Amino acid sequence: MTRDGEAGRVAIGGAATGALQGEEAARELMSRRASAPAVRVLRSGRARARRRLRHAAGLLVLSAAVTLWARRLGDGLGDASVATGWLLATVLLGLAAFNLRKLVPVLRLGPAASWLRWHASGGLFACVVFVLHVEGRVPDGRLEGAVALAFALVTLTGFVGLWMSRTFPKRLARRGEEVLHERIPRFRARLHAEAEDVVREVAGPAALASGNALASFHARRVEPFLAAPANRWAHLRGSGAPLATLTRDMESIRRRLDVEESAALDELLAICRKKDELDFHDALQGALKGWLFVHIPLTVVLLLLLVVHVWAVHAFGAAA
Amino acid sequence: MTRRMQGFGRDESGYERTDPWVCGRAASGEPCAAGPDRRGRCLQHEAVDRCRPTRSLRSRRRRLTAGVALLTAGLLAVLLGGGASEALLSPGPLVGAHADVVAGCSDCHAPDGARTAGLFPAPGLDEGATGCGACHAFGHEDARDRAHSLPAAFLPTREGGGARLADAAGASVPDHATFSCAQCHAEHRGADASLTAMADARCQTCHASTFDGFAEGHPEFVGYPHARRRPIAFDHTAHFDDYFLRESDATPSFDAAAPRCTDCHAPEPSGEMMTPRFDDACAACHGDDVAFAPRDAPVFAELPALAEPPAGLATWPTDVGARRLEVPPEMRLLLGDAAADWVALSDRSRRALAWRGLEGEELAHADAIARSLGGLVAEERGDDDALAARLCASSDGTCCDTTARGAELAGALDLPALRDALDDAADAWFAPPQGAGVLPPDVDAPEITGDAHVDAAPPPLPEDATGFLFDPAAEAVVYRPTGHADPVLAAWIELVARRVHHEADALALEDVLRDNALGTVYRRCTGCHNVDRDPVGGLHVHWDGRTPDTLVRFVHRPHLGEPSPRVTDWPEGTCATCHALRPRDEAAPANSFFYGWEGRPTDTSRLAVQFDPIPRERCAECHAPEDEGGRAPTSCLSCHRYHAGGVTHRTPAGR
Repeated sequence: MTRDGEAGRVAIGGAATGALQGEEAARELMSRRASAPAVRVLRSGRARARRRLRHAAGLLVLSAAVTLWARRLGDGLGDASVATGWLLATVLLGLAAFNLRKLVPVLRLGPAASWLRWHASGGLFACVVFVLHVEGRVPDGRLEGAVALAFALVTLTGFVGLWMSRTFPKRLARRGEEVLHERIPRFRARLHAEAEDVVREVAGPAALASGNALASFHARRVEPFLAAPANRWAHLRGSGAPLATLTRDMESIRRRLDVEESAALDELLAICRKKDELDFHDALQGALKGWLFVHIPLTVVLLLLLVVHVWAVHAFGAAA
Repeated sequence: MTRRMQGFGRDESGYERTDPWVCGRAASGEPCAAGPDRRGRCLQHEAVDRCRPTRSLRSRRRRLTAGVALLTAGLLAVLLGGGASEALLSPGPLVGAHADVVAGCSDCHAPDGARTAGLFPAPGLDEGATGCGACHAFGHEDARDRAHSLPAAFLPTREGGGARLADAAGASVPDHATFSCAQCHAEHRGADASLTAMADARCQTCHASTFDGFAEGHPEFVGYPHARRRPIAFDHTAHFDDYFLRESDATPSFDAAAPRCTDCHAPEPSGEMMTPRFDDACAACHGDDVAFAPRDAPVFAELPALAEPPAGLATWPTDVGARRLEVPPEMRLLLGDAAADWVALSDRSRRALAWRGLEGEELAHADAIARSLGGLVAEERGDDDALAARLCASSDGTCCDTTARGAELAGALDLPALRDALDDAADAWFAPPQGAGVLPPDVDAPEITGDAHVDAAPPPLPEDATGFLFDPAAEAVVYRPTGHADPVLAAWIELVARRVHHEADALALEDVLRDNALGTVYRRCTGCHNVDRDPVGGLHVHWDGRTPDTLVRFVHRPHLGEPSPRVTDWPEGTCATCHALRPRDEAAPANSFFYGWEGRPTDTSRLAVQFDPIPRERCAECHAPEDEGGRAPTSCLSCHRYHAGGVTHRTPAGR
């Protein structure tokens, strides 16, 4: 689970003991116990804000320095595009090293969260260097265009991933329980089976053949919903419309049900809500993992094109 | 439903290996406890319980990444190895002018490991088929790989203009030999891109004396544009004050009452310069001054008078030599290997060809020279290549070097016509009608009778004959120019001028070149066309009336105003706004505007400046930032050009 999720379930801190005695001390102790998580979350938020401010300021200063450096090179007799090109290649290799960090966690190269922060800042810095490298124009060579396109796509997917990694964990923490993404299918299957049991228990094994309203509704609307992931885009958008529609449909048949079936309908409704939560988690966690299916292959393409580009520039380029 | 589905307690959530394989029943909610092994095999013993494991997300991502990498690498290999490699690697379209003449990468990019580590480096100045120099000629070809395309001797003297180099000795001047033209002229930026656009700061890489703008801090005009040596010696004061205003018959074609600058100066098609043309501005009065009378035609070959034929030759004409008091410099260029004997001759022998009374070493040198001349005229009859080889040997390769100018010069010399004239001379001087021309030494030769080869007076040449001719009356091979700006004569004069740097002959030629002349016979040319010492070597004759090798670029047309297409419509005094003629008492005496051929363009010690300097403030009235009321550009390149003398185009061989 993500860091934001972890922050949401911060354990209550150790009890304060010692000097405080008596009823007043006990009240204060209770008060401190109750406020400790909120204080820690607040402190964590402030620390995060300060850290982001530091990163932003550092990025601005570094970008300004590189811009001045490139401008000075370009104004002089140096080749600014070659210099910024090597800088960009170095930055890109550093960014790509983030994946290596994930592949070899045993090396203790620092927390992945720190790497992610530097990866994001480095990506923004790479954008600045890229603009300096192409001198603000759109490359019109085929290879250079391909490199630029790959860079743009990698950057775009990176920004999408950054946005998702900043917003999705909060949304996940706000809704439903915390579940491992890999286990969602089994939970979904469990809910599916429970719903079958509920209907079978109320309407009997041959309920569907006998025209039971609950069984019919279950077969038509609930069972397809429980059998597979549903409403992925609606969950990504944060829309609750599909669940509301299903709930409304379920309520619409209640008048045709007896008391026992109505109670079963309540259970089905609870199961569907749980399934919707699982779908929500499945969609958001899937997106958090799925964007890498685009970002990482594109990065590899970019690096391969980069190798050819660097070779071509230095093979056909100007003398030093 | 309130119960939690996901437990995180030790007993609630066991460890499941999810990489790279996942149990095939995980999706149905009943995964095996053991799961598949790392090779994707189900570990259940009973066949009925076995599942088909599926790859984890991470594993699928790795496979996708590897597949994409392989596909990309393969695609690149195919494209780079195939015929599309040039199109793929090209970083962008060339500018229009280059795109029209360049067929492929190899036209400009060629292996040159000595200059750069690149396999196919960007084109440099090499004049080979792939260099920029193949199509672009510079004002100073020999200095094209130096800063500002100027000889080293010029750079320190430029500090008078205010743009001081970081190191006056030139030590900080970048070594342009290691530069590529692409250092400043970036190609492959599209058909409409500018190859010459440049930031002012680039100039300040070398020019340490920086300033904020043209109006603030730019050095005053010291020598520009008037206090400079000009290509043409012309006395404005005399023409305005004496010739045009004098009521005499000498200048009937001019309106003596109202001489105007525009009577002679008109904008060239480019609008940049307003250099008068001889035919339009000068010929009316000076046409006869530059004409060569037949008796004054430059001599290219004559024979010395000898007491005996030189060794190796059986016969030698007697009625030759001693006709002139000055040996033509061109003939020395035709001596080939005997040029050294010419230098060894005494000054007296070099000045006249009457060598009948020579003795000792002087006779030996004279004999060698005569033998060479005899070979030139008679033995090498009809051999154009031998003539060219002689010229190359004695001109230090000037006319046969590999530069474009060398090739151009060699073509302009019209050697086939000279050979024909020499053949005519051979017929006259060495009579044998059988064609051999010269009897071999082992054949009995007729005695020299004094006029053995002449039975009767030859007919004189027609008065209007031009070109290389054998003149029987002058007993010499001569060249009769067609008129002003004769290209053949200009080429020979330039060849002689460039020959001055030849070590062995330098002193003798300098003696001849005194008083701004390439020999008295050429005073008709060099009386107006100034001759300067070329910093690269030798002398340079300014055939072009435009001021050469300037770093300043001034375009007259926009400064004169566009509305009127005719120059005569410009208001009176327009030219004098910048070119104010000084009164006579402050100017130099007439005809002394320039002295001699010594001096660099900024050497004002021997100049008589006839115009007032232009105050910089006058230019700054318009050339100022917009927020200060300016309406003309202020960048360095608005008025300066990097390559002194400009860059011209030429068509390389084979394109």
